[in-house]
Amino acid sequence: MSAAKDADREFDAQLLARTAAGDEPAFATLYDRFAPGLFSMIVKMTRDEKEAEDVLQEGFSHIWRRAATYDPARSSPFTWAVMILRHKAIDRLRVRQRLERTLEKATVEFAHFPEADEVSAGEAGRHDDGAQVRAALAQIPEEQRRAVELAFFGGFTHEQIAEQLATPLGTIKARIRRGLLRLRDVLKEVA
Amino acid sequence: MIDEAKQDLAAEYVLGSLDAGAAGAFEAELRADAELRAFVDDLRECTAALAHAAPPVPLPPGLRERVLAGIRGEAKVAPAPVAQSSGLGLLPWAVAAGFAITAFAFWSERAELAKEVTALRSEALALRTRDVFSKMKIATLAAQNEAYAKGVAVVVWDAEKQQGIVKLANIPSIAAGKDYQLWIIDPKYPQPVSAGIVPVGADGIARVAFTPEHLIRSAEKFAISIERAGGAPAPGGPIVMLGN
Repeated sequence: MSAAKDADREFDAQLLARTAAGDEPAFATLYDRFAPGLFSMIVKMTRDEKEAEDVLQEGFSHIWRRAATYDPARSSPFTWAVMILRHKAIDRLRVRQRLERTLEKATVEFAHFPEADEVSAGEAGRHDDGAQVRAALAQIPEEQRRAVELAFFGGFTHEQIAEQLATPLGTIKARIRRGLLRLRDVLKEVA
Repeated sequence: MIDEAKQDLAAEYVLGSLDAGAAGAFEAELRADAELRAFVDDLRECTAALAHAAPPVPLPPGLRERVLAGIRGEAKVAPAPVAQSSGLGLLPWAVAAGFAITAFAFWSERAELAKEVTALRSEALALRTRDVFSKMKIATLAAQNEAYAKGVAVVVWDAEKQQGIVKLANIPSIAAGKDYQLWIIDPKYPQPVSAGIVPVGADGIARVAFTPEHLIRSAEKFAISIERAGGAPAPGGPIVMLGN
């Protein structure tokens, strides 16, 4: 890991420690550093900016309340925040999937019910990360990258991806595993 | 050495693909296996890095202030004695799907509807004792005047998540300067709670995901009325569809 990344990680960990002690300005700084990247991720996941706002607000509230549970030995602060926000977005996506499935089933009785389009209702230093990750993704075989992106941004389970791509579950598992491991190796090489 | 099957599980765990039971079992393994724990931590870092691959979207103005205002007065949580979990809180989706299919069964045979509604109520009563799925409600709305006699309106409401979807068909076009607006009738409030406007296409169809303006404790009824363009804070126009 580069010295700059180490320094970033340490600084963010200090902000989280101060947040855990109830330091609101530290929390605000953490928001300024993390929110832009996290918001972009959630918008890509939910494809709905209003919903992404709700998820971001909910996620940062969680970070504020649970900052003391962050374990620096297990992950970087940004990774910890990504996992929290992503899980909240997935929760929403799965509720949406469930509602849509139920709605579809409930309306099938209307034989000629036509289809309609749905109407839904401190970043400094992170720009390079985007370019690095995109470059790393470009080095992963297309079918592995596709499966990884469906899992990460689509919030789909491995079973759902297998169904969507009409591919055996074991193949999907292998693609995701290999894709993630390849991504890990490439990111380590460039770090 | 971590075998491939275990690596697959680790990837599923990190991506939140495991159900609650499998995730719990995997966490038990993690606590006992330092090598596996290190592998998962490593995988989690590179997985989280994928967040950087999302195209940048500017933050909405005012969101920072709302987030900061939201945390004031919130209680803090002490460190947990256990290692970082997946934090997923996954719902048992298989059960959800089962409920959805059961619910559908009651709607799919129009001729059997009356009999099936009785069965649905029994089923719902049984489910109510279980979990969040008992909070899910399906409502069909009936036309309130002749012009809407062919109209179809179905609402699916998830009380746990305070979200719903409404689907309309065969709904007459609305006059200029007016909008259809969805309302939830909750006895907790003196007047119906707005769930937003429902834009209906020229083909008479709409499908809208909604979140009501206020917390709904009990969605007794759903109604659609005609209100001024953009919606009204309280219903004032005629109710065209109503149901519970």
